[in-house]
Amino acid sequence: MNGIVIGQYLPGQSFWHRLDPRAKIVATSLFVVASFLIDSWLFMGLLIVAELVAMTLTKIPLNYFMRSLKPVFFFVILTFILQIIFNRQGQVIFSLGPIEIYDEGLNLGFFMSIRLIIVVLISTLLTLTTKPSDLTLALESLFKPLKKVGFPVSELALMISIALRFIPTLFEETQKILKAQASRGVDISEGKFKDKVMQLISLLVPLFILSFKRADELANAMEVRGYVPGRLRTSINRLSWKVSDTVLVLVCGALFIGAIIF
Amino acid sequence: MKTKDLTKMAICIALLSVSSYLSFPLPFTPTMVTAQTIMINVSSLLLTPQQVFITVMLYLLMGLLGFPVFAGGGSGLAYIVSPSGGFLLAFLIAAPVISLMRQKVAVNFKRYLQVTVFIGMPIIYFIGAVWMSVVTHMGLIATLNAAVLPFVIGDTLKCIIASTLALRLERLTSSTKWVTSYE
Repeated sequence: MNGIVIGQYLPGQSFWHRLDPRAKIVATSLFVVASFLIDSWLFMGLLIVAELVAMTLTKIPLNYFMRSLKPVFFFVILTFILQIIFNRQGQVIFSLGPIEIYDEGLNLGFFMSIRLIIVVLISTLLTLTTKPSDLTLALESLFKPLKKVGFPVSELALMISIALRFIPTLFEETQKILKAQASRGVDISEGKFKDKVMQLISLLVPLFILSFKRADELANAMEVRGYVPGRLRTSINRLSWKVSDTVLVLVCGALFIGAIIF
Repeated sequence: MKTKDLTKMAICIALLSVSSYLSFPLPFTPTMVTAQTIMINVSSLLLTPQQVFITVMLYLLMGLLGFPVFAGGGSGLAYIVSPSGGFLLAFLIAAPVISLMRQKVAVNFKRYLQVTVFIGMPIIYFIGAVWMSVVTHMGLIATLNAAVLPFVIGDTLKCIIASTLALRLERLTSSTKWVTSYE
């Protein structure tokens, strides 16, 4: 079992799972932009309530959401500390040597930290309830208007799908190379610094060679199966838009417009 | 766009994603050297400007969508809007420029190193620092002290590794004929 879990998707039958992925992407984008446009705690409270309602509807245990906050925790703390240290507006409420904490800095620090948290949670909501393949399909569909200006939307979506498919394979390949070299006497954890650098290169060179070889083989296989870049194609997977999707987009659209107005 | 180019770019996206999981400790420091920056530089030196732009753009797009492809398996918009997110966006600008300049220089280690260190690194630092300055409302000088100066030596080392790697790969890929066996 390799260490990479792509997509973090959790199977389920909740309201959120059944929504069209295009609606979820549009709604999430509107929500995120709205959170960056606001600067009042009242509206922030409204966004927090909306997000909590959405999280409840997924029927996914809370610890999955908490887990997604873990890698971002460092950024939240960093943002908070930078704000309270360098923001110099308002009244001084605490001072210790060169450090002075202003009330405006503290307020802004909390505001920006909470904003980061709700952005992470809404992103996690999208990935926990949507399959990676559906996300790629939705992206291709949403970017379709760009085809009219010559943007190769189908090819870009295909590249993402291929990349997603090969990430676990390449990770496994990396582990194999490391073990093969270890069995031949290479010890990556010892030796002089220069030796470590050469060992890193001796890992990356075969990884690249194998990857490019894989790319060539895949290209040949695709072509003999009739794939031609740019040619119109059908799709085995279909997306269907329903009334609930419209409602979701309208709600997030309202939040977005409200954020602009206030 | 040819199919071979398409699959090559896709595999480079996957390599970028995998490289964000690879890290090695630097001796005598708590800092970790991640292979991500090395991969950005190597991809820039091996692909055409258009190809590397598409590769980095799709990599960032995957991260934004929530696929765990950023450093340490992170993902999501928070990485972009965080103080250090500008460095990721800087890759989008720096990679095509490196690739463009590489096409104008001789194929040797010294030229590759010059392109990555004196063209790639300043672009990444400048965009990353400006982004951090805007996001955190810090002065630019304070930002440079916090986010740029401590990393110059480590990044230079990564450019050395990337240049060495790119040269080897270029020789290997241009001289090797694939021997494919389906037995």
